[in-house]
Amino acid sequence: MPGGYIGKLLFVDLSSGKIWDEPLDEQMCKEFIGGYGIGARILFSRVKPKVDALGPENMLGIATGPFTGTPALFGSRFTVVAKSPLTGTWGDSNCGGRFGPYLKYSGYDAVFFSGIASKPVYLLIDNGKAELKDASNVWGKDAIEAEIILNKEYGRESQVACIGSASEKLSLITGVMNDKGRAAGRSGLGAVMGSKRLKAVVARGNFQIPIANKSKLNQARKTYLAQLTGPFYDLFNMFGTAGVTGSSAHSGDSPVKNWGGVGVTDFPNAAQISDMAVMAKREKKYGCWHCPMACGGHMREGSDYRYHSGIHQPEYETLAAFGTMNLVDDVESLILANDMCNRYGFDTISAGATITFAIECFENGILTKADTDGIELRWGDAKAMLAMLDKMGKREGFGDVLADGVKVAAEKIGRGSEQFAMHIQGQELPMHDPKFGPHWATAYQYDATPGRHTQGSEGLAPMGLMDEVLGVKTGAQGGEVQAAASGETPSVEELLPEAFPRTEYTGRAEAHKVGSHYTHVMNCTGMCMFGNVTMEAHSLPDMLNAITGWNYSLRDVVDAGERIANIRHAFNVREGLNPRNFKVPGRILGKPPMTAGPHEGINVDIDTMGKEYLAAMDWDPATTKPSRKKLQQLGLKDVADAIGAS
Amino acid sequence: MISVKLFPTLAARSKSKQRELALPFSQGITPLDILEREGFQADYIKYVAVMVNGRQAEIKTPLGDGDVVDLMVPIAGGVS
Repeated sequence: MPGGYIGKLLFVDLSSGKIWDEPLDEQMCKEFIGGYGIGARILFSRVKPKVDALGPENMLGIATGPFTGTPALFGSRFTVVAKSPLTGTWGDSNCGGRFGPYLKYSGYDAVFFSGIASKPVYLLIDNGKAELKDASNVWGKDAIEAEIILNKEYGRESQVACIGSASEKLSLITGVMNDKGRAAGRSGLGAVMGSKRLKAVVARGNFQIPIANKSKLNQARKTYLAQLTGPFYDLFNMFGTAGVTGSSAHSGDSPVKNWGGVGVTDFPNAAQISDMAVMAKREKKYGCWHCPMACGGHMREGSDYRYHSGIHQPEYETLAAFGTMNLVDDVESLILANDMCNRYGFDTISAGATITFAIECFENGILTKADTDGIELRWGDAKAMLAMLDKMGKREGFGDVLADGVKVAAEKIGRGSEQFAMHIQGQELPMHDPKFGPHWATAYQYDATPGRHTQGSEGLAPMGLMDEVLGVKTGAQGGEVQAAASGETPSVEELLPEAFPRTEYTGRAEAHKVGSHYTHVMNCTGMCMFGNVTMEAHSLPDMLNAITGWNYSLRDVVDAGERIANIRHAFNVREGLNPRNFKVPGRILGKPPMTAGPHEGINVDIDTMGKEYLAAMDWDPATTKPSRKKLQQLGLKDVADAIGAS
Repeated sequence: MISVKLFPTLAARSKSKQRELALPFSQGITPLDILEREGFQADYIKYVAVMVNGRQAEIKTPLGDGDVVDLMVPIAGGVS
């Protein structure tokens, strides 16, 4: 086995109770890395097409990567995978906290669940031995309560990944939680776990993770720790993502008022839910397992709202989805909303945005108090927002209508509510507006998990990647190379990146490929994106090679990422899905263009970006089916056969 | 007069340590000039996004008298 891996995959059939393990194939590690790469390879082979995502034939996987739990920098993460009940597509979601390393210490790189248990259970993995346990003492508890109970039983050296009470009720906008507030939120995978009556996975043990070249890894740590300076480091270290909330609300990065507002006019008090305002409510910093940046926080006890001290600091996505989208400028209400989501197991993006949808329906007379159990859903009304969130968590009254996200809610409500449902293929959109950065649109529509903002692009990648892989000698690296040769200090002009102009929609596809394929591998190693973008692109292959003993170049990394992108997309093709047909709401793209604010006149040309991306990927321009040639080149002949590629 | 609003991390690292600055206007002044005067080097400046009067702008856009300039660090970026 290469370093970085325990070398074993655990399988659990919840219907029969059978538990077994299989060796992790070294070739699979090299080709699919870990996380959702290995997850996609396993599920493509073992999950039939067109299964019910909440039925026994869907498989749920929890997978680490070669960085997870090792001395590599930022190696805390794990991925959850399954067919998504929210979108009907491939589903994956990414999480930090502490569980990932402990899964490996318990003796497994990943665990996969099929079937449905006859009564609620949890899986205990205790130093190589796995056992299903009766979950009646934790079923019905919120995710934080359940974790506390299980930690008490299994000790401080145990870690828990679990679902909240809303996942037990199959809310399609819930995820898998750990460390009392870290979430694998997207794709509705909490509902898959709930459908299997699987409350939690508890992991403890003292398996050692082998490292191929310890001195090389130590050297890489030294080199890249020294790069933890600069604006991104300052942002994450000083404030966490909460630091951008205010500026994003006004710059146009954040959607405002359900994607229809202008920040400076509709949400002038955005600073009240950002940076210093959040820090004023914070007691101390929090970091995921062994993180040198520690971008999180634990909050002090609420004064205007009832929540106790120690709960997690809300992220930017949460503050924007509950705050900027709903025009709520009361920061304590957002801290409470975040904690409620962490307990119910809600994906905060989807939960916040679903309430936004309901508010806009209410403000436009599509919903009345008779529909909403007497709650007046108004822009800026924090108390109404929290009351409705609580009902969603309990699936009570009108909360039951909203608990599966905007697409299902609009179908249930009818009355023209669909016009206010901002989603792509059922997943509510993140708090980054393609009108501010067009690269988001390509990712939102064409990543195998629609509506994701963590999958990389030409606008979301570490420094040095594009220059080296695309041979484009512009911007930072180009300037430094030229100046070094001449002996002069590079000027600012030479060091300013030649970013893709905002309204230039052509010529982005190759860079989108490189950015997203690199990011897939980065995600699948178990590395944190925030750490990765703070350092140079080489941080990834350098540490990967030191851990595994491989010799990956940046090009090799991108090629592995292309394989991961293709198998995830092929999963969707096999389901009969075509992202060209996914409807993208007009407001997202500026169709029609806004008439005021930073996006005045902007109309994002997703057609051109999409067309060029499909061509660059060698996917059919009409069906998006990958070519047989491409799949075989990637070693995916079985996938080509399964989808009838030509 | 030019009003400048600095992103919290930029303010923390700047010479003046202020979130908001009121600067005298001079012909041809750019956001880049403002950042350099506040002590920022090129390797920091390359991450800064600029808004002028509520619209996205370039770092070397010449400013006008009465302009409001927002200097921020969006999470996305790092394209090179």
